[in-house]
Amino acid sequence: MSSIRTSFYEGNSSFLFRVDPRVKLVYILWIFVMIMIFTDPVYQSFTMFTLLIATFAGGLSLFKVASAGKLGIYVGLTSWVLWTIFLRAEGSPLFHIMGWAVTDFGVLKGLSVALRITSVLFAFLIVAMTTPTRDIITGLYGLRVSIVFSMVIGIILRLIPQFQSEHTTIMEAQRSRATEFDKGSLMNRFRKHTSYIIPLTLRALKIVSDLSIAMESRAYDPYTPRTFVRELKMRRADQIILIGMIVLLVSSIILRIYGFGELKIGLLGSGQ
Amino acid sequence: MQAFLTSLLGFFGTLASSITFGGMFILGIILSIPMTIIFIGEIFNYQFVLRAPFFVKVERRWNVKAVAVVAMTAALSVILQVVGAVIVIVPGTITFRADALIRFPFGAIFGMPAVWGVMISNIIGDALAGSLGPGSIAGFVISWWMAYLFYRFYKSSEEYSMLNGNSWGKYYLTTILWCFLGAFYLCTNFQLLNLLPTEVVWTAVFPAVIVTTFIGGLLGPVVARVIGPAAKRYGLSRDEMQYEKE
Repeated sequence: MSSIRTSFYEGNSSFLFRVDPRVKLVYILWIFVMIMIFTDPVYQSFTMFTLLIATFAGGLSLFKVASAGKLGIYVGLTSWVLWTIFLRAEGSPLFHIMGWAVTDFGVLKGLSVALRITSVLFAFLIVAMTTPTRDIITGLYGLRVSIVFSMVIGIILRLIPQFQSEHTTIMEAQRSRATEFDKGSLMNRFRKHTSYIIPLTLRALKIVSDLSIAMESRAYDPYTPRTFVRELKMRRADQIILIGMIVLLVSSIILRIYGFGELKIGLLGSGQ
Repeated sequence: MQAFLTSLLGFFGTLASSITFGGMFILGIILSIPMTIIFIGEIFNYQFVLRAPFFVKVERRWNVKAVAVVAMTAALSVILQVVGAVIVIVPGTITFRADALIRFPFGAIFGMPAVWGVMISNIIGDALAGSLGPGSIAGFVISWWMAYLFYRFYKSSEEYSMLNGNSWGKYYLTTILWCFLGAFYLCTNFQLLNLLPTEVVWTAVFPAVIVTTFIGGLLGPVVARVIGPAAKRYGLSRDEMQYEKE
């Protein structure tokens, strides 16, 4: 079983590290809205440029960010190729591959979708790499997200490695009893998988039952206001970033209303 | 079996083409609107019922056990998502979704906390796997529906522990219902967001979602048969948890 990475935090002391976690969480939402407003990659590239600035402001290596999001890049590229293939009859042909036209519209439409797919992911990765999990939870609470939800995120990230090690133990126990998970007919293999899913779930029930007793004994009540080790305080830089995001968002909406930023056939020149 | 599954994929793809992609999209919109309204209603504790005024307020209160069950469901689901991806049934199209083995029955056994857990697991799973994107929004709504249908259709502990033949039958019918609802919702949203070309959405993604999830959930009743009574013993089942007042 490949291991699941539960934290992306890089732990440096860059500018982005010091930014209020609430601002960073709002930034992910901002990226999502901004990338959805425009369909023209030229306009979308501005949003992507802010990701580049955030990467440098976070003191992160571009390679590390890209390798953490390689699955997203793969999905984005696949979508780009598919759009290029399916829109081969629209727009002006740029060149031909084995008799198939690659048109400007297909390339730009595919690029636009690929940017949409990858931008939110990279925004999340940059924020996750520059914010400890504890601060993300504090930030969520600060944004008035239900304490149950914020608390649950923290518990899940703690439970994943614990369940993972339980899973490994159960798998080894099953293997020592000569269970071969990758042999046999398809139905047989499915059945073999229940031989670890059921014990794993039973162990999970026991762990969670103990956890709830421990929480109850410390008088945990989801409805009481929480206190946090790190109190959130907006600095001047945080306020400037927030105002900047609002101004850019409003301007983008106005631009879009006036017809800018829409992908049209023939954008690269002689369209149909 | 592989040949049978490939032909099943082909069948659903042909079905979508014969209805036409526009027709499938309209059907998807017709299904997606009430699905989204019911989902939003539940966020505010309003539950859909089949009598006027169609939404009733449900009294719910989070407690320690409910919080722990949300976390357990989500963590288990994330882990099984990774484990299941190892078995490739039809290369490039269908992998065994082991998470479906718990997502379906957990809604029946643990009720609403598990429904929220399944939804959160989808967001966290996407974020940790590095595949978070605009499509994740539709993904978490359909994941929520995965457990929600079972939460609504199963009531007593005999039912969710799969102690009789009827509950087994109901399990497979509910799974098939979700496979269609989920596939329609996901594909309609993919088309709305222009994430993939229409042809790919309805002839590749639509059949893959139906077949993959059904195969993944096939042995769910076996899991429920063991986990249902165990959850009751630990005081974590939906009727022991006291999260909801009828």
